[in-house]
Amino acid sequence: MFLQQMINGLTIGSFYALVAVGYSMVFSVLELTNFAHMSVFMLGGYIGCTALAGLGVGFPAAAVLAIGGCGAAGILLDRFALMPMRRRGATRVSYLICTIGLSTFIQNFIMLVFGSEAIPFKETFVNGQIRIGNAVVSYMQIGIVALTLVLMALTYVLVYKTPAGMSMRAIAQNPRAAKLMGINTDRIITFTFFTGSALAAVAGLMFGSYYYSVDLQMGFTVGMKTFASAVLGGIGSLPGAVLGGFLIGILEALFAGYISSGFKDAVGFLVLIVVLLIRPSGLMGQKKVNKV
Amino acid sequence: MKKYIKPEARAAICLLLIVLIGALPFYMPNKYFIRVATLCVMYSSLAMSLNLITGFMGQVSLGHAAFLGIGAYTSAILSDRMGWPFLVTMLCAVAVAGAFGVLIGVPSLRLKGSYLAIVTLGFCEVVRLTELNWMSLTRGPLGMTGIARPVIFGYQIKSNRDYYFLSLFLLAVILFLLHNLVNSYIGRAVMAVREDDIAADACGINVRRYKVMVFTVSSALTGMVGAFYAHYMRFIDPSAFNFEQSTSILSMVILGGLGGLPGSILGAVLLTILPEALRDMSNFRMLIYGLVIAVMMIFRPQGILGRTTFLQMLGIQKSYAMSNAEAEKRYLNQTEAKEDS
Amino acid sequence: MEAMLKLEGVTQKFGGLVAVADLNIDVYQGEIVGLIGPNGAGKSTTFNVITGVYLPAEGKVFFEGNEITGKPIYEITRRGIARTFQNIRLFQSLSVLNNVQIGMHGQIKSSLWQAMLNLPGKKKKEQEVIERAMSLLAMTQLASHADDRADSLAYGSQRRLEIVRAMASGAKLLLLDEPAAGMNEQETNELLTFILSLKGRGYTILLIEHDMRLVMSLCDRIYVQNQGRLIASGTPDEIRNNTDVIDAYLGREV
Repeated sequence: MFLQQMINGLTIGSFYALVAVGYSMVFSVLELTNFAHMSVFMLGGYIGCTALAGLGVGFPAAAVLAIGGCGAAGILLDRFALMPMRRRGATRVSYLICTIGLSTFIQNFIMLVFGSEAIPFKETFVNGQIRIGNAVVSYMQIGIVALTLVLMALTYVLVYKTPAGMSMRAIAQNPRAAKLMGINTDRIITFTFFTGSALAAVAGLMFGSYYYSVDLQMGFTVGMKTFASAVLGGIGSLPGAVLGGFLIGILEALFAGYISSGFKDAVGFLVLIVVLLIRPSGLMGQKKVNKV
Repeated sequence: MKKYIKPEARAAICLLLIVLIGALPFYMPNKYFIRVATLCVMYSSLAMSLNLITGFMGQVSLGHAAFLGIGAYTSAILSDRMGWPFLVTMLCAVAVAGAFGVLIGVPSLRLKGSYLAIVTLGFCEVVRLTELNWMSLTRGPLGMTGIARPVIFGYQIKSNRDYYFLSLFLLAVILFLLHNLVNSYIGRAVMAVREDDIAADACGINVRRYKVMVFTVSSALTGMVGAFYAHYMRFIDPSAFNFEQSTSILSMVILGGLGGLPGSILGAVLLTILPEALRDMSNFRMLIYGLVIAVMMIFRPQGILGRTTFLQMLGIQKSYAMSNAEAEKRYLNQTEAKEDS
Repeated sequence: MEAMLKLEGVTQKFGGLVAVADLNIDVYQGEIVGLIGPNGAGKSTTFNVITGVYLPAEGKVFFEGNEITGKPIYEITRRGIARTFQNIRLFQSLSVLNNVQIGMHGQIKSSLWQAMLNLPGKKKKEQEVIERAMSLLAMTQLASHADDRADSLAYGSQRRLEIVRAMASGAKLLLLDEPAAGMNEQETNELLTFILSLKGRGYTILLIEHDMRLVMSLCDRIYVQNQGRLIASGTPDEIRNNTDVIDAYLGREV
């Protein structure tokens, strides 16, 4: 059972990791917790899965559609909501509240477009399973973890090895200095939103495929745990977000398996609260000195 | 624009408003209207108490529905199991919700902004999951039904009109307490924490104490409304106290104006009536709320009424500015006289 | 005479960086003492240690004979040390009067029940606060702006208001962090007169300042800090002629 729960935990941890990386990227460039991110993840699930089930397209095509839809949502979000606020020099609380509103908006938009019932479907991107000892591992689980690792590697390369990534990191360090150095900060920030949203889209699609359905709760439940993941890993740190995602996934699976499945959704939070109170900078984050 | 309305006219308008609100069940006897009005009053109370945390202290709380739920369940369970009268169970609801307020106030000492928002959100989820899973206490997803109608000093609250007046009475209590609080040295200290917590500390303000105090007061008052909610709806289940509910209350606070009590009432009334008025749009309720929050933050972060106080609405806000010469004459001689004696 | 403020071997580190090293400072009742040094010398950090923002790695801070190291910030203010900040930190969206009223908070015996229920005594308390605040504003020529938002004041007035807010706390010792920063010559002159008048009112002052003319004409004694350490102390004349100071900081300009 332990092995089985570990495997399940790694799988759901993949979703958390993918979404948490998006949070973390946006947080590092804007110091903003983007509450709308969880709704973007859900949007990815809905677009991708209706494409898989309704249009009958293959997984790659569904992924492209989901990435397109979510990427566009991310860009719109930044261009029409956050950029005007940046221009005006809005307070951090306003940003935060704005994304909460947008999150609610997107979520209910999805409900109006796709209906409020859960959408079940059978198609998945890979079938079959293997046994390891007395644990069962489906090919889909392997696929999910593998795809997640590949995407994480790509994101790592993007952030640390490309000029765009360097601009992102420069803005994270000091937005004003970055702007003075000739970086088009608005464009890079929008690009960051796009990247984060694209990752969330893939996560949403895989999430739907894994559970054979998408529903209106998925954004919130997963969103909450990815907050926990990002904070546990150290918000703003990409490797931290991935580590946090997998850890929360595994903890949750073990908790559900051994203690109580009714409260499994609370595990992320309990971890989050403990981490915030004991080590607010997370496992891999950097401590900040309070400047006066 | 409002500046040009004479104080007498303002007083007359206010008096008229009070009469209109108080007499509403008499000229609008339709049950449905009275129910909507009761909801407006209830949400006004909720929005005002959340405003204390988010508007006056500047801390985003996304878990306000949790306190509503805690109050509702406390009162319902005590009334159901113990058969205690409404006033007693309501006071217990206040105490229990206040105690949880302390609990959530403590993390607020170390966390700010997004972190605190997430923790309050998490708290709300944990409370909801507890309500959902603690079957023996709360009957879980089935909810609690047949909650007793309140009896107050022997008077049985029965009709929609009775409930409306009860809700108005609670609103008046909350309004009295919060208005006094925000217009006192404590209110100023709390606003100082919002503006700059380090400078507030350097002014001799025990920031930690006030943060916990504000969370406690706000959640205790919300718990009181929760008790009303339970005995008014006479049915509660965990789904009424979720993130969506927290968001609704928050959007009312924002629409009306962060840091001003009259705004919260306006916001609550508008956002309660709007979805009701547009009957076909009940599906759009949360969509509208979300949009209201976002659009307000982008275009008018101060809300409709901003930080307008009740005194300003009435045109009786005192002005202290005076020419320096006059101030010297009035205040300096006085203090010197005091120092001499 | 015992020093009013006494720093004994105070050391403050951030990670590997030693911001303040083995600092000893004495400030006596009624003095104006300057703390100068190049940027990054650790002057503001010293203020932060005194006022309780940072807990020093080593050393002790005494105020009027009692140790205050590691006490909470508000507690230190209530004991009688108030400060201003290098980058003005007013309660920007509140009124000028409110800022001063808030400055007085430490002296009010605060009670939630009294405030919320309008219990007896509240009105009198508030009235006294307003009168004292207005008399401070009258004294500093800010009374005509009492109702204005703090951030609507001219820059020099904002600096002044911050000092008034510190005075309102009932403090005996004022720590002023670069009060003349960003001021033009006329504003600096006004500030100079103002600070001297504070001395006349019995305040003791420790100030950080880069404007040498102001420092030299105001201060009774001066401490010079460089890379966290004290490199000199003495009267303005002694400092002006100290070769270490000239090498480290003053250059040839004075």
